[in-house]
Amino acid sequence: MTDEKKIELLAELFEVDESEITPDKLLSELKWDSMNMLGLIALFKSECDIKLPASKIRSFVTVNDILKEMQ
Amino acid sequence: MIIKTYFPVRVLTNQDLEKEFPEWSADKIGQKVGIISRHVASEDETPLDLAEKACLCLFQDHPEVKESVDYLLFCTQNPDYILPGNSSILQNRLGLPTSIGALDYNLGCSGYIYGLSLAKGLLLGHIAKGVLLVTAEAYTKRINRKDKGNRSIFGDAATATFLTEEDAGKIGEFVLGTDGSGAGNLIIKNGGLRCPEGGDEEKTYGSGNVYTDHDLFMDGPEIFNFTIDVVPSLVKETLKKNQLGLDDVKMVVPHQANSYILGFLRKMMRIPEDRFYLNMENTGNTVSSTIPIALADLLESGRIHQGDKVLVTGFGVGYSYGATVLTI
Repeated sequence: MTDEKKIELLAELFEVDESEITPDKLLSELKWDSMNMLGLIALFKSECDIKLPASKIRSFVTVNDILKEMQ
Repeated sequence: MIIKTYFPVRVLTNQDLEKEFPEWSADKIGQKVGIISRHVASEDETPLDLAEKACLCLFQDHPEVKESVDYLLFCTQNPDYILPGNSSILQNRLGLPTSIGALDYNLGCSGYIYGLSLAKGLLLGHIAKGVLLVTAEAYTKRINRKDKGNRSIFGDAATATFLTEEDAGKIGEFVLGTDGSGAGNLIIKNGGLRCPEGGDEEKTYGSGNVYTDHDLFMDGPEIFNFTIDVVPSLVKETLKKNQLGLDDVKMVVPHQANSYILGFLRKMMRIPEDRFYLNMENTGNTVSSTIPIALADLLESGRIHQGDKVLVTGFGVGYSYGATVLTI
């Protein structure tokens, strides 16, 4: 998956402009709530066919932590 | 098969929740989880009380049923007492004969499916001629007031289903499953013998939701992963075991967990929207009662008719899951 596609998907998930999805952005500065955690699980399953365990999700601090896991 | 439902009078709306949590957009969450309001049992109202009312509704509309009941199955995780079970007390309250069999069983969102499997066995094994299958739950009593996430999802209700031997013949093959490795992901720790006390300190999870060990804890992401792992294959296996294709089924009725999770599962399974029933908007997730509530609603609104095949599937706390096909 291209970096552009990853950023497009995350911008859609967090309902922000793509310019706000930068690697060093803290997830706490985005809307990092229970629903978006479920949304991220759905995104990883449908777009990457990856199962994202809850422990992994809770370890994410920045956007880059998510980008690294996306394939 | 006759189904009756009962909901407590008190209603909690998303607007009510927004007043308590002004920083939180209850309406937006409501749109995502597909719930606008839910019924909440009053302080002195227990699942047993709700169950009694559901049964009385059934007897009122079908007086002949009362004399035909010879087995009572009561599904709840919140009985009035540690012992005796709710089923004994309900037998007495309803004035059912002392000659009936009665038992409680502790299951959550898979409870109705397991109840159907037990009823089928009892009826086709000629142990019983008329089974009254009751589901009743009041999770709202177990949710911390500061846990806005779970308060937005769960509602209280009870249902009563009466089944005869003829009905049992219309219950298809079952696929059942249990995975206790997920026990800690949906749990009320205190109250049993393992953790009789302690755990009073408040903990937070998700979007600032608060709970203690006295309260319901649900790890939403883990539960979502469990449903993704289990439900699509459960539906596929159930169709196969009943020698049916998806097109042979008029409606799929899943446990009404929340519409975000169900929407994702539906797309994974490629089930058309109009054949995947969602009806939790004004009731929320009522645990073991969601499936009979949905079936009663479908029957009453004429969306399913005699001869239609309906696939029902429940999944949740335990983990426990199951599915079967009903011929209406």
